[in-house]
Amino acid sequence: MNEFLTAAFLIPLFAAGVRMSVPLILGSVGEVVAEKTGVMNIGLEGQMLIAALISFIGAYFTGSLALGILCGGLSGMLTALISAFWCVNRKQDQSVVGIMVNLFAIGFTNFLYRAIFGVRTDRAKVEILESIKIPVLSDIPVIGEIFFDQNILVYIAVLMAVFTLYVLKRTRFGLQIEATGENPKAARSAGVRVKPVRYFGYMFCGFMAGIAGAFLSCGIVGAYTENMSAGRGFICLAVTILARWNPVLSVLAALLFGTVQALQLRLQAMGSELPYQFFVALPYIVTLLSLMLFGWNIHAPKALGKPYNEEQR
Amino acid sequence: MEKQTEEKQDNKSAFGERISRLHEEGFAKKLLIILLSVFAALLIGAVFLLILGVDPFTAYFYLLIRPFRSFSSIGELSIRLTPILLTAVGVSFAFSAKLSNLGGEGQICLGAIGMTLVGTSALGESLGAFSLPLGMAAAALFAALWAGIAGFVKSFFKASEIITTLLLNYIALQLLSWCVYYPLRDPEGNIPQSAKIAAELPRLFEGSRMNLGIIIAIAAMIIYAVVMYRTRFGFKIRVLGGSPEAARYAGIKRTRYYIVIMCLSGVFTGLAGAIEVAGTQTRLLEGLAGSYGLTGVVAALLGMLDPIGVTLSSILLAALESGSEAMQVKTGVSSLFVNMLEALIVLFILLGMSLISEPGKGLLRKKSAGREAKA
Repeated sequence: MNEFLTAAFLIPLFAAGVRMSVPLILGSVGEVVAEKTGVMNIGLEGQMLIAALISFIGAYFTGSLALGILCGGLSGMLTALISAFWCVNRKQDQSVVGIMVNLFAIGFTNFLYRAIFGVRTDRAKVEILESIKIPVLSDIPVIGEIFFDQNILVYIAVLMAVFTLYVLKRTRFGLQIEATGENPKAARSAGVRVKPVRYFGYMFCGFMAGIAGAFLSCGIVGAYTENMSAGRGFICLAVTILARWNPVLSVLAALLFGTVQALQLRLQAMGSELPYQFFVALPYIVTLLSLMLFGWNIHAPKALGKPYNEEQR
Repeated sequence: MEKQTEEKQDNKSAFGERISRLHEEGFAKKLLIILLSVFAALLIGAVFLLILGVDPFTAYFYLLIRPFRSFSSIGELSIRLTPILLTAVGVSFAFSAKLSNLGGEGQICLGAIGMTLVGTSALGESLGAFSLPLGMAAAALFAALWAGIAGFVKSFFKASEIITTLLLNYIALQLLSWCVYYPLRDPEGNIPQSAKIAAELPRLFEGSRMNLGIIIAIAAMIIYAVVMYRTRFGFKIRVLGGSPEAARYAGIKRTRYYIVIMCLSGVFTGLAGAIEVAGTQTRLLEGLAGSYGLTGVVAALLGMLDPIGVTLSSILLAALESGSEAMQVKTGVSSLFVNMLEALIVLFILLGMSLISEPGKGLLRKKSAGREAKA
């Protein structure tokens, strides 16, 4: 047991935990905004997967990681536009459309990878993002190594969470978003245009999911592997609930899951008495249990998941 | 006065639309939309195939025509149809109550584990062919309890079943993997899989792998039709799916029904797993659930929860699934290609249906609302 409690084990563990949590932070900050406008973006997983591939393709051919990541964000946004059109304009069931987007993404990414890279044995690769040491802060023992020696997207993710909270709580636009998700009819009578706000919700969430996907392929792995989002999009949905639709709490909840994922990988590698399947399932078990313990949906926006009919008064 | 009746219609229409399904006057229109959607999806798919440098006609021949060409290929289709149909029945029960059971994959795993537990036990060996019904009962029970977790968590913790059923899938996959690596592993083999189960489902014909499972699946579909349209319980499910407010008004206890419906849903998806073991694989192995869970959902949505519609769409999807492997071998296009087709078909159908049911424009919505008001 003592081998777990050494700095040599714990510091890399938590540093990896921070890295693993980044896609969850980005995705759930996006999802918070989408759900605050009243739409559930179940297609998050699919957007993340498509963006992981597109950003990789972008980085591979332009040679620039920044451009690749941007491509990822935009492709996530474009994919979210599909959901937006079907759910906001055509008022279709948000969960059904989301499931279909996820299904589409599995087939589409497989197709696109093969169309561009063909069937080769050597895997196409890009350099991954370099870590940036924040001056002064990274010199703090332990904390510095864990939090302030990461790549740029890690910092951006946390800043985005804080910025999003600020916009939601302190600006007029944030108020409009909240009103749209709580009571679209009242928002409409107060002069808020519900459809554009909901479109924004989808597109922002898609963009964030896209960056999350880009983080996976360009940020930490440097390659694209089949189905590499591996259910992270669904964990983002759970993180959103656990964080009670607060972007900054999302960061904390995501850190928890990220650390469980990092721990799982390490325990597996160390060769424990327990079967490896237990560790693979661990993040999902923790998510499920925490949904039961803390996931009370009472803070959910009132009109979440309900299509808005302009004509219907 | 006029405004008032309009309002009434709008309130009722969502409910009316759900239960009207294919039986309404709009049948021809809906059929046209479905055919157009399939055609549009195939057209987009053809563009993708051309980009890959594959002749679309060859690919679609393997997907759509070859599965029906010979007696034995229909047998292959039937062993894929069985789990899809059973999963679709289970999922349709849940979706009828507006419960999105996306946990088909996990429930199939649990059903398969249940069947194997009985089939490889000493008791199963001694029972011979009688171990099959016992195994199916175990499968149904396991999967019902597994699905019931999601219903329970929804009822008592208000957690969305969409997320919990998906999470349960990931856990069930690992549970199955653990079973074939450790407790159920065939002691004589090197591969992580269980021993052969005591008895297999009998085949129906010589020269085809079609087995008794398909009869069970069809029976399940008939049960679904009878329960949904001929019983009080089915009516309550439909009320619950139509409008939770109406259900509360009618005195239907939502919390209890959510659990019961999820369990019922699990019974059928679990049977899919049991039959996959007892009819097709004859043992438990990893990856057994395949994509049947999600395909069942697609079948249910594509068929708009209507028994005949779901049956027809299951046949289409089974053809795609069984044809996709031949296509992969012959043309090099991954079998995942059909996922894209499936998603596009459903999206186009949703789009088409929304275009004909737009309030004020479509006739269908008013008619079904009127019918409901009379009832």
